Amino acid sequence: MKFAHMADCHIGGWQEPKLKELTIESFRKAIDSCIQENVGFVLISGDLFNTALPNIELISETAKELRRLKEKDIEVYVIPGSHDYSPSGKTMLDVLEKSGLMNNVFKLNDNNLEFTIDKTNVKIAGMLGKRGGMERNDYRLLNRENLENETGFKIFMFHTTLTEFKPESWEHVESEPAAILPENFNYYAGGHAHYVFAKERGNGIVAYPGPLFPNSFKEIEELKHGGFYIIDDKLNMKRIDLKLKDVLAINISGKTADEIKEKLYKFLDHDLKDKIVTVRISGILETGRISDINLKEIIKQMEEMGAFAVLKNTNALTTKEFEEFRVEGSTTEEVEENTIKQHLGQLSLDIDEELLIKSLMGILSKEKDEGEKNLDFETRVLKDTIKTLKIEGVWDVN
Amino acid sequence: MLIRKIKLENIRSYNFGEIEFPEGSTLLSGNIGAGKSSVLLAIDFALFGISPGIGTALLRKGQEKGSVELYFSTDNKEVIIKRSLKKTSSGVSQDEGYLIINGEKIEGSATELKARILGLLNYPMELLTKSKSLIYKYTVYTPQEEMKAILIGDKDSRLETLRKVFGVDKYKRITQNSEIFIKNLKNKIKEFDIRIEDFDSKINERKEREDELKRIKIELKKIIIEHDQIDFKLKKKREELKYAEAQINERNRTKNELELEKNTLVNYMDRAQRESNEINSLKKEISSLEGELKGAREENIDDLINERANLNKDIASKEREKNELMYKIAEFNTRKNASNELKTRIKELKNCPTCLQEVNDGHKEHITKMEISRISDIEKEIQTVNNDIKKSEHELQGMKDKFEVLNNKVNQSNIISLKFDTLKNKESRLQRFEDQVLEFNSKIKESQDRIIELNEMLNKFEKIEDKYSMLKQEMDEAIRQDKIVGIKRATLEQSEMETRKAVEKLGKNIMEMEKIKNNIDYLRQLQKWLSENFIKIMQMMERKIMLRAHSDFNNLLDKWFSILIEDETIKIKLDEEFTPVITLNEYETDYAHLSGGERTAAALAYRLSLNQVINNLMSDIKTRDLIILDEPTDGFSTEQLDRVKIVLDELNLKQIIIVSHEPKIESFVDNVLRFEKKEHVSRIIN
Repeated sequence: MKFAHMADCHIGGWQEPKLKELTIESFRKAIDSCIQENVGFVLISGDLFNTALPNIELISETAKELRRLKEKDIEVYVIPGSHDYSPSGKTMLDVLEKSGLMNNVFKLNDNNLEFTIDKTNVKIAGMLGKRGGMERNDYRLLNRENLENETGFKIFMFHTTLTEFKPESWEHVESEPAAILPENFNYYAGGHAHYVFAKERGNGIVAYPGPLFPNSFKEIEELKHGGFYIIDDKLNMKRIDLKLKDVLAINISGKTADEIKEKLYKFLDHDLKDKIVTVRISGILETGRISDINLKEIIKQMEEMGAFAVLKNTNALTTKEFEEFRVEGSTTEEVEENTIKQHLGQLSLDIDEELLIKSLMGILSKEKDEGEKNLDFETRVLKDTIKTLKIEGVWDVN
Repeated sequence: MLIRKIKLENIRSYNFGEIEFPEGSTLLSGNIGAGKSSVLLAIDFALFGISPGIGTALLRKGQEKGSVELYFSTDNKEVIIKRSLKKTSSGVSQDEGYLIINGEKIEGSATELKARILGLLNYPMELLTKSKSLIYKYTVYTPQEEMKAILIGDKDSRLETLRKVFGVDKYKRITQNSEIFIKNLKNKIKEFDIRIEDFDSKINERKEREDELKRIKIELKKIIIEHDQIDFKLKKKREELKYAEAQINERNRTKNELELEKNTLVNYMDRAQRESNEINSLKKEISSLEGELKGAREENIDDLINERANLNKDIASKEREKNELMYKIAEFNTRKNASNELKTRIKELKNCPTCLQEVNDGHKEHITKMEISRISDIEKEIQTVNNDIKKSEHELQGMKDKFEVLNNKVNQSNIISLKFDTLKNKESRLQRFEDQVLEFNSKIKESQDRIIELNEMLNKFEKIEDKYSMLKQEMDEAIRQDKIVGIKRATLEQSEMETRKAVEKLGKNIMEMEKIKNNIDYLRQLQKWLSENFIKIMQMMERKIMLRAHSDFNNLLDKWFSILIEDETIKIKLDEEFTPVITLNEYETDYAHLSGGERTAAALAYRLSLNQVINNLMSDIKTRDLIILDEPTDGFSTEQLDRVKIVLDELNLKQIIIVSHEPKIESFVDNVLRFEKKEHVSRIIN
């Protein structure tokens, strides 16, 4: 007996059409592998879809793949995840389950979780995942006793990040202690945390297969591709990688637009054909603007060179001005006032500099009146400015 | 600003409509085309007038005239503004309108009304000439499609719009105008520079002239000393000459005096001689008189004179006595004559002159007898008196004879007395002459002494003429020298004065130039400050306000977007050019890749953020309490629609007007106004 454990398929998870297509493509390839490997059943630990109500094409494609498993008599067991769960119950999972293409193992009645028993006698129970880790209340109220006391090969499906098992860099990611999980299961089929992980727990194993296809820019950079596990009854685990496209992760930083451009141009020498290219640019530009890099043009060139998709992330790219400029004051008047105050003391003449700046601003902000000739306007500005600077005695315009 | 009421007449699909707006959130509900957005356009028109092309769209088809009357309150003022439209040959134009502020009506042109409205709303006046109020557009009411347009429009025009909205255009304008001023300032400085071009040569010239002046002064000082010495010498000579002249005068005076003295001496000697002669003759006369009076003596004549006087008095008294007697005789004769006359008259009288009665003869006779007796008495009396007179005349003659003897006696005594007097007189005269001779002799002596003295004095002045002549010569020489040196001195003084004036004039020129130099310095400093600091400050302000706006905008955009879109994988941020960048699963994606609901959410978030950024930056504008949202939920899912409630709560404004055909919104708002259109006419149902 062996089974497949996948999670976080996030079908329809990319808005970018090509990548969106890859989410379904990955699923298709996973199903291929499952059939090839002749697994007894397939576990999907939440977030099959990216939303509770994906568009019709995606549902249709997914149903088509599920049907292939059905035809091979391979059961599919799912739990709703934070993305495809719907508090109103309006989720496409429901439709697929009712059409017999999958089984929702999240069966909670009066705080008791029911087991679903596969034809292989494997007993499967599952807890859904909710947005913002709201499933923690369900765990708190869960009657664990019958779950833990159940005999046989037991699988617990869950869609929650576990504090003890999350990577250090995930410090800020919401998580729950591993103790929320009931004891005495042979396999804990995790989802939600998009990382590949497996660790013994008691006599069993807690595992996260990671996403079926990287669901974010960072995941493409780090994971490059998705995958899943195939586990036998001895708990031997086999990792199936779903490598659809090569990934070129470009991560550069620089202090000027030119420096960044130069670094980027070097990547144009690479073979980009059919690759997913991620461009992450970070740094603080000491001069110039971000738009000076003209990233659009470079991306266009990469696409023209045959890159499958080029994704960019410039979140950590900023300019010195934006980074270091401390704007004091919230209203225009306050900002003006503070700016003036900060720049006082430059005029070595015996003049109230602050007052002068303010008066000059009043005078010099004037616009040409409708119908006023350029020369008349210039003379008006000149006269008013002379008066403001109190140099009429020196400079008589008339 | 809070909108209270609007009245529409022949506006778009309305024949006539009056809509009251309560505070709080109000939904204008109704099917698409029911006339909801028309109300918003009408509010816009009432406030700011027509935008090009809008007028035609506002006036109801087939109508000649239309109007909008908007009631609103702002800053404790109740305001009514009415604007009208009329059809013209070239389209639709604005007709007359008015503004009523707290009951006070102001009529005015469309532009004047707009200026008033901008004032009331505290919007920048520079918006006056713009066809639309950008501030209003981006804080209060933006047609939803326009917001989407600004989102997907080209970044340059978006930035341009935002710069105007944030009011940072001002800094660019200030910079440009500053540059105009600086250009002129530079020219002015150049002009001043030309005026002080020969400053250094003037300084050199002044130095030369000053040196020259110094030299002249030294020379002049010498000449003055020389001149003073000559003057001193001249003064001395003049004094000497004066002294010599005085001596000459003294000599002349002495000479004259000597002459006079000599005359005096002669005179005294003559007189002394004459007196001596007199004395001799007097002595002879005295001797003769003494001979005559030998044996005679002086008698007391006074008794004789008294006796003669008494006798004279007695004679006079006797004369009066005799005269009185004579008078008596005369009186008696008068009385005798009167009696004789009466006696005659009575004889001839017939009637009494008094009582006119007839006088009888008896009476006449009586009277005649009486009168004869009386005459006889008188004659006796006369005889007696005549005897007395004869006696008196005899006595008087004896007294007169006695007087004659006495009188001769007195005369004799008088002659002797006279001779004695003459003798005494002559003796006294003799004495006087003798005294005078003595005196004259003394005077003669004095005069002779004085003559000796004067002669001696004259001897002292013996060579005075020569001395005077020599002095005169010396003085003439001194005068000549004085004249020469004086001319030299005057010449030097003249050139000193001229050089001094030249130095002064140069000094004045230089001072003026220095003043110009100072002005140049001052203007240069101003120029430097304006070009290096002031413009920098303006650029800094512009950058800071853009950054402030950017930072606030970015935060607000994130806030509103995450309220509207629950999906954590979709993020929105502003790039440096205020273009919203959508990050989906951490990669930047195109706005076009978003779902309709997401796009609407992005547009609404952008719209709400912009509203708040402007309200924050321009803290004084009066439209902070109001926002109008026009179909803000197009394409929203049911869940997203639920989030509109959160948006309304978060906005927390006094008045929110929402136009939506989405029935679900009704449950979130405080008030609902339902619109419908039947037979091409819009109206409110409730």
